[in-house]
Amino acid sequence: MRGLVAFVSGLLFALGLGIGGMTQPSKVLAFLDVAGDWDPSLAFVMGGALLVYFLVGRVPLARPRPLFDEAFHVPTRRDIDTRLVLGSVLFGAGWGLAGYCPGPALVSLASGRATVVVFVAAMLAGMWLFQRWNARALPSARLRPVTAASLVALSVLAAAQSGGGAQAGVVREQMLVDAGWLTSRLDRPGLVVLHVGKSREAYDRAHVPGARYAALGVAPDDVVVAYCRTGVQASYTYFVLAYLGYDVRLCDG
Amino acid sequence: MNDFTPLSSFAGGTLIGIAAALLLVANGRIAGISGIVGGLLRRPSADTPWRALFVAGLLAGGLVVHLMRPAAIGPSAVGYPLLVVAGLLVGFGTQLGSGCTSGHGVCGIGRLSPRSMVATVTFMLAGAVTTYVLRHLLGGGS
Repeated sequence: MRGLVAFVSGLLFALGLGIGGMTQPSKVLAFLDVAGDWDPSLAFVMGGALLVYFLVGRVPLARPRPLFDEAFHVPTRRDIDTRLVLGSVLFGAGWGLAGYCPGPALVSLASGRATVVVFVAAMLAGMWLFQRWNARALPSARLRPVTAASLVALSVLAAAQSGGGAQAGVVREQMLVDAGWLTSRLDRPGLVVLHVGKSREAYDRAHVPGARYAALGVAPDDVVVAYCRTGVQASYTYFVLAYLGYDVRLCDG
Repeated sequence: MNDFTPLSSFAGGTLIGIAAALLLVANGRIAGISGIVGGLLRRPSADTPWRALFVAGLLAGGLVVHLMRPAAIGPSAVGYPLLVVAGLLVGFGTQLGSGCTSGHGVCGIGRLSPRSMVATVTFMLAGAVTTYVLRHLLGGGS
């Protein structure tokens, strides 16, 4: 059903772009050329789209979930950063050069013109180049500090919890288990492995054998091992369960 | 000289709004073309199928437009070197800025996102300045 909705949405989107005049680069450039023979038509495309989307876009505020998914996947960031502004400047410059933005360019492929094929190929190459560049820029800049921060937070909280029994900055050994420890004890009764993730989908795709999704049916004296991909969400679970008095560990690896 | 087409443009816009709203209400997703296409260039994930189907719908819709009204898909008056530069800028820029005309301009502003408002004003201005430089200062373009 989700796939069908996506297809129909894409189809309607393309028809809207075609009817609205977005697939005519000359019209797009005439819209951007405020100082020349200005054609404000495309402001009406945006106006029409915004009017509908603004009215229907209120829905996520009123409903807990979309019709065919467990949760809304909507951006929540509100900060204005350099990447946002610089990226928009580059995109706007490219848009003003050729009169194509991503959607209309893809729709225009149907005309079979070599010009639009070249544009789309260059656009995909630009996206790919960004991802190459971003992949090299990110891992050291984002992922590691997150893991490090969660470990430091863990140890600080652990120290507080044990009344200063552990030094801040040192992770207590009994908090962590590694993959080997887990593998050798997977079939033991009284051991609960928790898959801590935002979506059921990820759990369905892959999880530790016997692992349960979310905190269901844990007996008071079970040993609970929480894991997720980065350890951040599992850390939250660790503290909630530890607070509730369970014997809980984090899987390190 | 371009015809001013407020009615058909508004109708097309409404259709775009309906398409984007459908994706939000039914699937809980943002109809941002650059985000969807960019996602397809990454390693396959649980999001790959719906993204691929959305793009398939977009291309199929293009065929419908082409068959019903060939003139609706206009030619490009720009030479190949400039098209390549423009494509690279659009591709890289939309990924760096997390969105394009659809994701920021419609879905983002429709949700009153401050990031999308800043992005939309920025790329509109950048587009206007680029056209101005190209057409009025350098005298090129169409």
